[in-house]
Amino acid sequence: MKNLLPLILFMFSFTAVAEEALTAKTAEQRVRKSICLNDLSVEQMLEKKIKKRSQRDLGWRVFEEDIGFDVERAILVNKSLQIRYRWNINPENIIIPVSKRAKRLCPTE
Amino acid sequence: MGIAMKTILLTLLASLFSPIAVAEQLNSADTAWILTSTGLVLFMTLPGLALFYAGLVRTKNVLSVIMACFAVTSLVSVVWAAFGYTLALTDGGDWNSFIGGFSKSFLVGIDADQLVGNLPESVFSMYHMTFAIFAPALIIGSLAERIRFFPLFIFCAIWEILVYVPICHWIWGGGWLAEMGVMDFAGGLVVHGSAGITALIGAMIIGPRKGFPHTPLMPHNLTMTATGAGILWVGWHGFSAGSALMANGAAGMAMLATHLCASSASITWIILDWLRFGKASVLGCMTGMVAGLGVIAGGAGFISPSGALLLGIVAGVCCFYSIIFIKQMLKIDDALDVFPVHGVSGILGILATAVFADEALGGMGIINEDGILGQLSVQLIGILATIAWSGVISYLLFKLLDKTVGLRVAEDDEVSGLDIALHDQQGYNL
Repeated sequence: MKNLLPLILFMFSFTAVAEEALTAKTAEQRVRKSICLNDLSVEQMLEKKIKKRSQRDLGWRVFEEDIGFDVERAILVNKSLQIRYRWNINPENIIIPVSKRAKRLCPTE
Repeated sequence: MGIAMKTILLTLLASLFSPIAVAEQLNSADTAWILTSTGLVLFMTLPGLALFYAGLVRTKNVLSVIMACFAVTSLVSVVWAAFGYTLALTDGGDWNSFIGGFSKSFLVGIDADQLVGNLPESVFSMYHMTFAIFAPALIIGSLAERIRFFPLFIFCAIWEILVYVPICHWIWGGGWLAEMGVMDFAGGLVVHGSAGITALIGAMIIGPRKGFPHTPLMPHNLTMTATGAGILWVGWHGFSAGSALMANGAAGMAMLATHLCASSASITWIILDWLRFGKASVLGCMTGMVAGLGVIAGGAGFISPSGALLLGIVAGVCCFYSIIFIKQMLKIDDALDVFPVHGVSGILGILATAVFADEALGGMGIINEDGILGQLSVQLIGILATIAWSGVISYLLFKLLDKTVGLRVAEDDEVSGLDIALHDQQGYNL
């Protein structure tokens, strides 16, 4: 039991480094962690926006598409009115903004 | 290292790789604020609107207006509980673009633990009930001093289901206008637009009061009207800031914008009265305030405080001249100016939201991804849909009631007053 911890830590580090197959869970994680603007990730940029506006965060949703997954963050603006930021991530791990709002969040020069 | 320590470390490591779950949870602060707002919005109708309207009619009709406000409140509460809430604000399945479902008919299934977002469903449904009450109560004003009580009663019940509920669903219940991205924070279209259009149609169908436009039909008690107007102003904060459905900065911004818009509209009206008639009118000051509250309804939580100040001035000018246009030029006797004040301001506010909500103008940002022009076109579709639906259904309903049971009191009853004729009581036994 004493030597179990280093072994587990080693296994975790190995799985983190290895390239995972694209699943709904990994698609979401990759979009969230992708760099957006000024070294801030998509997740951090959105958190900043939500806090600034005092809006209600509806969280992330993932939709399986013909090519890869669409990953979306929904924010409740008022009553049933939502704004949505949407990206597509393909099996090659290329992330493309789908909605104009997502494009504006992370402008590419 | 102890077993407990290892377990903690392993749990921490595992949590790094698990997704964050977003679960709906009751928020006590939000709940407390919406409970308060519910009381404030109900307070707007009773006694706010009842007193506001009662002071504006003649002595012989004061009770008829107060009675109509109380009766409509009771009636619409029952209608909302029976079918209104479920059709307006629940999922309609395949028909959801147009209307909600029947799953919550008679509020079945709502208990203390049932949540809608961060709020108990009981609070959510009750809060929206107070909006559903206020809308038909507004219509009473245009028909005052000549409509029979029971036809008005029947009209409000049917109007609630056929007009208010669908429009509420389209915009706040996830219907087709919500899908398009129509921005209506606190009822610029759902409440003021729909009720304003109906008020205009009703006034045209029922016809003018005896003596209009040659005899001045003066308000009998402006003190009563001022009391009602004050209550409306205070209660409106529940209407606007409550519509954020959260106790947070968005609610605070909505409250600030609402208050400033009402203030600037009121000042604008005072100045216009002064320029036109040489004196600042008490009624003008209050009417301007209500116009400001109406215009901000659509964009309260989306517009900056400075945008709200500017919008109040626009509302003051537009509503001031709308009254002159409707009453003096078109000679339509909308008795208590429901359309020019609520309809015009509500619709104007919806259009203005597309501009003033833009981030470049200090707003919270617009929904449409194509910018101001895109949002303007979406808002315009929402306005046209509300005008068409509300106008056509109200016209047919008024006509049907007029042909079958008759809308208008007998001429003798109109002369002697509706208090005695309809309720066998009078407001003042002097």
